[in-house]
Amino acid sequence: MQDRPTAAELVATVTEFLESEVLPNVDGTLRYHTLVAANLLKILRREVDLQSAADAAERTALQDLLGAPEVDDLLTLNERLHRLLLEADDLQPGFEARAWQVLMEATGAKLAVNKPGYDRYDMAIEVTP
Amino acid sequence: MTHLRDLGRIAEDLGDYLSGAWGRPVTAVRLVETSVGARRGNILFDAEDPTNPAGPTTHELVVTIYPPAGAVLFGVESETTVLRLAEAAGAPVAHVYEVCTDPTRFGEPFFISSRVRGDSLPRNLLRMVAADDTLGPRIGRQLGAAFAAIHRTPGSATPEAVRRGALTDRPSEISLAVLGEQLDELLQPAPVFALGLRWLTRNQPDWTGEHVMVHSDVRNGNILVSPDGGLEAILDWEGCHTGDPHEDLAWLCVRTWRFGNDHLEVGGLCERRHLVDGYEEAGGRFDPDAFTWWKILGTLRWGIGLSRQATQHLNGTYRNIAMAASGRRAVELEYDLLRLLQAASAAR
Repeated sequence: MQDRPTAAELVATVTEFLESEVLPNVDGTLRYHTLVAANLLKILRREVDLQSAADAAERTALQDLLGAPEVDDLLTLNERLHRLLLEADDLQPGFEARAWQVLMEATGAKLAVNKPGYDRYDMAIEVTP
Repeated sequence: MTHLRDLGRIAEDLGDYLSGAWGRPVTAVRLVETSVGARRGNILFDAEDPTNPAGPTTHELVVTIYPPAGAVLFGVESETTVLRLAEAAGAPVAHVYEVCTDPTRFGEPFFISSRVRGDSLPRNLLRMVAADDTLGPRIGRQLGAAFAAIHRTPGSATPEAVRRGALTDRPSEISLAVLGEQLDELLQPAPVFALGLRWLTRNQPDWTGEHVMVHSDVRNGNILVSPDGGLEAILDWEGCHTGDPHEDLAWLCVRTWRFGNDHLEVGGLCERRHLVDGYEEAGGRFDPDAFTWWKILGTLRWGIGLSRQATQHLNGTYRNIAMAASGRRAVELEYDLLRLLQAASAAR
């Protein structure tokens, strides 16, 4: 068993250090890059909490969509879907709509890690200007 | 790179160059370096011209210095040619005074242009617009008129270096081919981008048949704005190419360039109707279906662009923490792309 601080606690500690001790003392490009670094650590912190459940859900959804329950590797599943969407002349009726659903779920899970709240957004502006 | 320049030496060289070009003594003073991306260096300076026939004058100028050959999208001659074409057509751009292709002077080619006032930082523009209800719509109309001017230049009048494909090719096909190649080069599968490319390939817009000059990167961040004058100039002509005018109108309206001010489609500054009104009043022809197609393409283009930035970081071409972070921003464009595809499918 690893000692405290845990991985999550280490990430939180470094984030605090960047924000409270480094940020007030830098400007220009270094300030911008410090903000980026702190944000990346917050992403990492959320990923520790959320990613394994998100990967499991994405794996099941892709296996189901592609009819490939024997394939466990998420990268392989994504590669298959990518190739299919790019190269298949004809897809089964409704396949693209089902793919859209699966991809929107996976995208929502990635947003929850990388940019929470980005999907709270009124789409109407894009459609009816 | 640029911050290591010897400004004292550059001041002397600029003075010598302008004195030779104008045939009277000119001194370059008050040099200030600004950064416009990693590729080129911009230095603001004043040229004192005490024996100007019209009376002693101080010219407010900018010198743009190119990096060594090979690192540029296109060279000093092409960029200044399109700037002059845009100015002649009536678009707001810096006036080009001098072009020097001889690399022996600063070690690199350069051009000297007028210094246009205004601010280009997106957050500052959003603040200006929030402080004055009339400013955003005004900028939108000015941008529409500026696009109409740029697009009046036929592709056949542009220099060879800015032509993409043959002038008989469909611009949508050319853009799809570029994005298809870039998608193949990414470090991981991206089925959302593949779905977008699939839809775009199968739903290409009508094409009138005539390529025009397209800036391709007009957005909040590449325009100079002042609170009293509105749009002062369009910057950064490096990506100029021939194509469909809707590419320009739509790129400006991609959600990313709103910087969180999502309800104002045109760069977070105003509604689409102000842009379109300005465009049509100045003689531009607007097709909403072509606009939607190019907006979806622009969203895909920037999503792939962000992934490419992360690739450059990860493969060591350009190690930089902001480039790394771009890899985790690509999902924002995936989300926007999926929503746009949903709306487009519902509409057809």
